[in-house]
Amino acid sequence: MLGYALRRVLSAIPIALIAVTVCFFVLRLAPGGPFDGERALPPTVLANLRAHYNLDQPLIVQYLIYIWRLLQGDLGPSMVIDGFNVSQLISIGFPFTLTVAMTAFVIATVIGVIAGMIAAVNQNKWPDYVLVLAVMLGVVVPNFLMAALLQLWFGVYLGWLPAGGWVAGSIPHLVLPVTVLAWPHAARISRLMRGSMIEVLGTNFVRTARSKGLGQRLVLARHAIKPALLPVVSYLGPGLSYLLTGSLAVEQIFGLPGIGKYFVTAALNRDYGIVLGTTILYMFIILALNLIVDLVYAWLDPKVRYR
Amino acid sequence: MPPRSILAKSQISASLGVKALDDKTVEITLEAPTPFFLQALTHYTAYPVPKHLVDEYGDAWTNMDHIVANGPYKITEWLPGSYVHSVKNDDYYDAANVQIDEVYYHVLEDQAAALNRYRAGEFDILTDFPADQYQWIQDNLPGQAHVDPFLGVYYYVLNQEKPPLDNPNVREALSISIMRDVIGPDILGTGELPAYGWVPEGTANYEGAAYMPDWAKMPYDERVAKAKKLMEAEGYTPDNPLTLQLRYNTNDNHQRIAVAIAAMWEPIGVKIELFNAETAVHYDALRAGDFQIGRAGWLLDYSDASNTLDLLKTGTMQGDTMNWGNNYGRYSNPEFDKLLAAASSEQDLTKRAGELHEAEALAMDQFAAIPIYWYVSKNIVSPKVTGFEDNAKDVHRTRWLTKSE
Amino acid sequence: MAGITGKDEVLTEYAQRLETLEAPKGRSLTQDAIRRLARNKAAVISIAIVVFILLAAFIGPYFVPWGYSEVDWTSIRKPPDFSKAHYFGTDQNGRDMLARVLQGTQMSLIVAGVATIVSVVIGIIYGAVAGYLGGRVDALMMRIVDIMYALPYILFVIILVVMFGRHPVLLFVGIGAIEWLTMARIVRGQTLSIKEREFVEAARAGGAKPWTIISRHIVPNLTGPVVIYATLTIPEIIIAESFLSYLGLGVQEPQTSLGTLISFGAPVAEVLPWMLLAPATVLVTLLLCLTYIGDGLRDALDPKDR
Repeated sequence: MLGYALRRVLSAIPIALIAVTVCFFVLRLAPGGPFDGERALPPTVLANLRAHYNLDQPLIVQYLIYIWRLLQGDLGPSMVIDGFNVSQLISIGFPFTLTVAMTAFVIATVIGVIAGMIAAVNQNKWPDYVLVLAVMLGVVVPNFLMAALLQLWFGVYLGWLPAGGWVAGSIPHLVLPVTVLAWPHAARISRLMRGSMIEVLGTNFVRTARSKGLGQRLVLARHAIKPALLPVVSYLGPGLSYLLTGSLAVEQIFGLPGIGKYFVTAALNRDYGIVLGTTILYMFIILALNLIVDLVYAWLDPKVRYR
Repeated sequence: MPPRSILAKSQISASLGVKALDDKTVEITLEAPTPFFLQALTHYTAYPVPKHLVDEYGDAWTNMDHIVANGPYKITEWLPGSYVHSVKNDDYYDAANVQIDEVYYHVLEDQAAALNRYRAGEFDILTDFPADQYQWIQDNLPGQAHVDPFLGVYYYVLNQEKPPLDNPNVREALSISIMRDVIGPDILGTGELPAYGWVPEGTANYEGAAYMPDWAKMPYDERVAKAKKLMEAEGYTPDNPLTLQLRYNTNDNHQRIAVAIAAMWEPIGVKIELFNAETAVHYDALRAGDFQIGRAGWLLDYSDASNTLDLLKTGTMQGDTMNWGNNYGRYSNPEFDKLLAAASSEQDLTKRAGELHEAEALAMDQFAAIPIYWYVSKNIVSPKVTGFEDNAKDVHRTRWLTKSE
Repeated sequence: MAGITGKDEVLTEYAQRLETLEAPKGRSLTQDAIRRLARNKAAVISIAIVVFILLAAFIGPYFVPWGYSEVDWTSIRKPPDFSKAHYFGTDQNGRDMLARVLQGTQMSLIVAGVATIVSVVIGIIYGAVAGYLGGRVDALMMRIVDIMYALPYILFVIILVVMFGRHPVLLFVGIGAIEWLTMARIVRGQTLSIKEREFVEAARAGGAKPWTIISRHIVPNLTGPVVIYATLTIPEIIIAESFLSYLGLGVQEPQTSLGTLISFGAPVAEVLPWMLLAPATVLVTLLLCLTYIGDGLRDALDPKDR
């Protein structure tokens, strides 16, 4: 199993490197640069700045410098946010993003699994319809709209929850952002769970278990949950990646100091270092998560062999 | 890799004419009398920098751990892109009269979200708000919206290096067919005043009547008829329109204005392709002269007419390339340049104002650019805050404010 | 974006089912499915609504009194006014919201449709090549797909749009170029199983080129999966496009899309509610219907549910 994990990690490295390379060159070839603002900088100042960040070097040299620093764990400076380097910005922003995303992830997964089970057991009865519709709202309403409406409703009209911002350790501040993020995730999980549960409940061994006189709950707990969870588990990796990137809009609307906000503004301002650094971080996390998911999947489904 | 510098230090200081006479006196030698010089020193580029810190920490002198403040507040925390937290500076000479103990400056991209959070009581002052909500704010939060004239001009630059916009008749047709009166009140909703000249009203050292062209007083349909004739003379009609690209940086208001103006130009035989891009790309294209019509705006750094008029000055040669600075349209008129040069060394303020007025009229009569509206400052101030005075520079120091709970 | 609607699971299962059947029966499986789908009321109603939206988006603009970029200087930011034929009101530029919603729906559908076609084409080529060549090449190519599943796509789309500007074609290509993974997997599985059949062997012995074999014998079997794939991919792309619009990276004015309209409507939900209501209703209805159709197809292909 360890060998399998190791092989997976190693095979991901070339892809990650290719992705970084493509991003690097695509970004540099994009028009505009980090110092193009509303007002022209005097040419000498601009030349000094460009020299300071090695932007006056041939592109390939810049690339090699970047990769060389990357191998030493240095993500380089931010060219727009003065006085911070990319690692510092990530260490400021990432904990926020991770807290919100992970909270949403856990809550959504639990709710999604339970809702999916209830819907499956009551297939084509009213709890099924109600749940399916409630859950679908999360998928069909774009998250920036959902965020704006919830902010207006709960933050302004009702005043029950903070309309935005972040206070360390404050749970009320988390409620709205987490809800917006978790809703679509819970929706997808519950749909997967519903489908696979219906299927499992129709299989022979569950029917046998029932015919032996086992109660509904016992059947679910002992025989049905584990196989029904398989598709859910295989979705968790992409699901978390979706949550992490989905937090871009949520962070902007609720004014959270997360990393998604940095990414968007950096891409627009051509702050090359932040864009690349964030992309690398996301790739790293998502690859790691997928590995974990695969291992969990293998544990749940003995049929899977490590190739 | 150590940072490399293009310009050696000795080169800079020799040419500056700045000398420290003693610890508390600085002597600045000017090339010519400059009436706005003291004003210019209030701009943030003239703030003092603590030399001992720069010597000690280099680039890192702005770190929260190192930075020192000589103002009424000092920064204690900075989350880039999120907020800055500052607290009262007890060493400030007037600390006894500073009422507010700490300030959070939040950075928000989404104006609607910012207004929501203001309404939820999370902010006391907003330095901008969505124009669409202006009427609503006036109705529901009476007295809290502050909209006031602000020294700045919103304009379109026309690339005059290439045809067809090197032709003053085409530029004239474009400018006179813009219905400026609807832009502020209707399109934006915050009532920005129409701009026909280049220097905002209320700018210092600029006595005399504001520039107002004759065509501005003509009824709009006559203006359109005249513009049509001008375009027809160049061979363009609504059936055979001149196609121009209009670039703006991504922003709701810029977009609305561009859409409205494109619609105003349609009847005179101009077809507009809209192109929006992020700020970096937009200004990169403007500077490179890679555009036909582009949106721009100028907020005055200091209150003096030369600050906006300089935007239309011919560039200076640096090496073998012409540096056009902020004159994106590359308007070039030796007579205009001469007037500005004369004004810059003129000691008699009235005479200087006259020369600047003459320069403004010259450039505007040639449609060197298309001014559209004068900027306004838009603030929302909670009734809890007192001491917030509207001013043409939109500067509101916290040291003059008080907040009641 | 892969996996948002769980399409991978649905399609893989369906493809496996197809593989285990002989080619002619594969077609009857699809026919069976259509019959079962016709009995699913929710799906049938959804199909009707989607067809209506499609017709409205593509033919409607010829029947509404205002053009989508036409400015009515007398009604700027006005609520619905039947006397001026602004049935959905006007925006801040005095443009008719009904005309804009129709144009926006059209644009969203085109973006989604073209992006889906791009991803289907890439998927078929990639999957067919991998499956046909087999062996190490196949293993490597599929490994790449596995890893690409794990990349933060929306970030790449943002980088692409930033790089190439806001042209709708680039949106199609940008989104389509990263949505092909699922399709590649399915096609590869199909190719692998069909490759070994006698008629393919015979065709190969007769000197048929690999591409002829793929296009004659493999592609026809893909009709079913492609239909489901499209139903499930279109909502994903519409949502992704609306997210890009929120970031200001949507299509260029005066063209618009549902996402752009909603992102302009959301901030003025209180003061100009008609600017949000119309596009949001269309988007929500469209996506709900597409989901019900997707569900219907899933159930129709899975006889065990009955």
